[in-house]
Amino acid sequence: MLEARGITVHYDDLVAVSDVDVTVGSGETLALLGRSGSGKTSLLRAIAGLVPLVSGSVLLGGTDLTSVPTHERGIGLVFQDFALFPHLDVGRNVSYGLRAAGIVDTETSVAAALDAVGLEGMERRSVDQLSGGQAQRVALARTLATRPKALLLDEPLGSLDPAYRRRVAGELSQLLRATAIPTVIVTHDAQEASALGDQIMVLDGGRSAVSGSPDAVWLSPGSTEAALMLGHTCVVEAHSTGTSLEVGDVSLPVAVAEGQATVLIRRATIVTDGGTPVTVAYSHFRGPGWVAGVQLGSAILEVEAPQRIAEGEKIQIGIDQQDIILL
Amino acid sequence: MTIGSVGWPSGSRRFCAEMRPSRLLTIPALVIGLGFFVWPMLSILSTALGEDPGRIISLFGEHGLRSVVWFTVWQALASTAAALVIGVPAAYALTRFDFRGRGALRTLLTIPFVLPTVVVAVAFLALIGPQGTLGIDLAGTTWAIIAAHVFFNLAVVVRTVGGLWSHLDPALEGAAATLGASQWRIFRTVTLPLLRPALAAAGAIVFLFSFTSFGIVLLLGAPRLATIEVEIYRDAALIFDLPTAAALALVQLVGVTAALLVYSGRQARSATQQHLVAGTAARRRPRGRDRLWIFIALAPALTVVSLPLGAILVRTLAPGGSLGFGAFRALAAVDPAVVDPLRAVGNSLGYGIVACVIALAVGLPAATFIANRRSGSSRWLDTLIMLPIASSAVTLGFGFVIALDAPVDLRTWWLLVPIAHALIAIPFVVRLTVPVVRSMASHLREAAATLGASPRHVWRTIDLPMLTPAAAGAAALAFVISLGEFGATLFIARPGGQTMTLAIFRLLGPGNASRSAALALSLVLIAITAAAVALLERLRAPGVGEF
Repeated sequence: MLEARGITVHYDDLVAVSDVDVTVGSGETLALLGRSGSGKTSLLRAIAGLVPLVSGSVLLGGTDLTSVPTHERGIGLVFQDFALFPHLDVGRNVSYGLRAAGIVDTETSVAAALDAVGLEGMERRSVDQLSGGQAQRVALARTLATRPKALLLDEPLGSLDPAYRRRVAGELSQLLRATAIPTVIVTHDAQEASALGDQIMVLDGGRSAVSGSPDAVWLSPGSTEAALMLGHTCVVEAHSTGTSLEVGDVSLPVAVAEGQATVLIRRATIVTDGGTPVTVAYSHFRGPGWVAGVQLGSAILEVEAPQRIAEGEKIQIGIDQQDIILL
Repeated sequence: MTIGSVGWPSGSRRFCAEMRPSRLLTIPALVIGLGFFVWPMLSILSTALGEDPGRIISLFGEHGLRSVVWFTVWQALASTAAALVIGVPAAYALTRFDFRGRGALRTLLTIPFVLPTVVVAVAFLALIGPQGTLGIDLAGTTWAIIAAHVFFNLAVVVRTVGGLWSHLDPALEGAAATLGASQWRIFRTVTLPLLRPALAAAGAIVFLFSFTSFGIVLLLGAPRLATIEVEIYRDAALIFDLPTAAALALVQLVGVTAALLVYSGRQARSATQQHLVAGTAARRRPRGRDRLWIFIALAPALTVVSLPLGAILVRTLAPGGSLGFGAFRALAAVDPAVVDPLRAVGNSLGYGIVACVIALAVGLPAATFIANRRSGSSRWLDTLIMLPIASSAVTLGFGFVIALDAPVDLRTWWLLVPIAHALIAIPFVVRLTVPVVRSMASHLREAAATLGASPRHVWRTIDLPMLTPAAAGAAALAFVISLGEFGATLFIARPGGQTMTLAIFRLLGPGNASRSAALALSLVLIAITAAAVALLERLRAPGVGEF
């Protein structure tokens, strides 16, 4: 189990991470989600011992690592740009950690590590001849070859083509499960976080905005920033009269406490009867079906549509009371 | 070498921890810089101001010294102008066109810059000296001096101006053409303004080298013409008028510092403002009339460079018109009490190796420190290290002689010669290696640490192998600088410590005009220098620095 307690990191007078707790069990993956500058990479680096802590502690399997230097922590880190050593070939990159540990005969381990990431026989390849996906897998193999007791991945899919990403995410997820060690992944992509993480933590301004299982945090993100990071689009300022919620010029028949509020509308459906009339702003195909976007105040609410709906057409939507979250 | 622990941030670069190198890295530079540069310079200052500071003013009332300063300035300006006029067209032809032999011509134009100044003087004496190949004796005239300065400095213009020119975005000239500008108008209104930083930088360097020129003026200007540098030598070493020599050294320092400020100001600006493209993008194959223009553009530069080089080869290897080793026989026949050629070669190689070791031992730790810190302390160290460039070789040697007699008399210490050579080489070593150290992104070291490598292991397996090519290049450069050094060595070489440059000077000296022996030894020096330069070219990290 990897535990980080009350992690606080400062750069000069800038607070990068502030009092964040992390707990990841063996074989479990935590996805740190946040926009750039939210402190997710700093948190990862703090766990690896690459930045000094202002306060807090890092424990691995119950052992306090806070004052242990990076190279003795046994925590593997895959860097965002992979940080492959340009003066070493693929095999030498993968064997680097083994050699550092004084192991001379590395051939079999390297072959096994490359095999595990699907790059068998690439030992002699120069690292600048690798594609983005291959470089990512070499970096992963290099880290896994050292048999780390915990694994940290900084935007592991960040440099891959979007089309390629989902497939790699699936493979990576399987690989991580097989390693059976605590893993922390940094990402700014909500789908990637859900695909890879057993748990998700959304970081905002160096603090944890929300954390929990992917479905739980999606259902109640807790803050505007977290809702937007998790991929929600419809976060709007609304006014409640007590019996209805006024969003822009749309009036939703929802009973919430009277007053001004920021609300998240998680989902809505098109109904033929008894719904709220709205105007379609756009409609397009997004496999496997059509979606329509309707303007709701300053935000767009997307609903599944049976087919393309013409722009400007009036439709009725129904929103479940439980899909409206006060933030 | 000690390196701080991996990972603690310097604080200046957010989100990116970096190695914080130990202050211990600065110790060699501080010892050498303060002990062997600042202290000698302060000694010159105190000697110049001496008991009566008013003396300096009255000194320049003397017609002789005023004319020396005036001659130094105007010959430097004339040399600079001539080098630009001849060099810029050559740079144009070499950077804008892709033709057969381009690389060879570029190399040919670069050769003079690495030749020792004494050898340059020997080459010009062979060409336009008494009984010179061209049949006209210009020795002792300003023409000979300016021609030699142009020969020596063309490489600076071609490399600096050509370097920027080859990276100018051709789309800009294309855009001007679509807006209706003629070729000439495009050059005047687009190309020339964009090249201005490089022109100014090249001009400043050529001025600097011509202003502090010593060996060339001493040998080609004798007996009538003298620059400040030559006058310092005459006053200090021949007539022992130390206060006058010191006062002239001060004037020298002021002039050089001014030229350096222009240079560094231009360098800083040229790096930031422009959108530059890959070098090959701007080059094209010549068509039609292009060939004529290329010939016209290159002819003056090639003439200036190839004639003296040819003269030295012909006069050494084929004296009297047929191939023979007469020159080498003359060298072997020289009285060993005057010049011992084998010993001179041995001394030069030995000093070169020691200077190289000192330059690396001081320069590499300092470069590591400068590259990894962006604080005031790193800027101070950088300035201290660059200072010897602002002095001149003769001033440095003169400073050694007047400063290092107390508390311990070091003036006959054999190590002084390589230390002086190293001082001149260290700025180049640092400039060559700092970009490489900077480019060794800190995340590679961090990655190594997360893989379990201790700081010592990281240094050995990451830093060292990545630094080695640049360090080897710097070493070759330091070696070449030491081989060719003349001005400082002339002051501080002890009896029996004669180097090749001193031996050549001695062979050309009064009462001992063994011209052909000097030519032969020059050729040996050229050969050794060429071997070291070839090594340098092979080892230099691609894309780092223009020369």
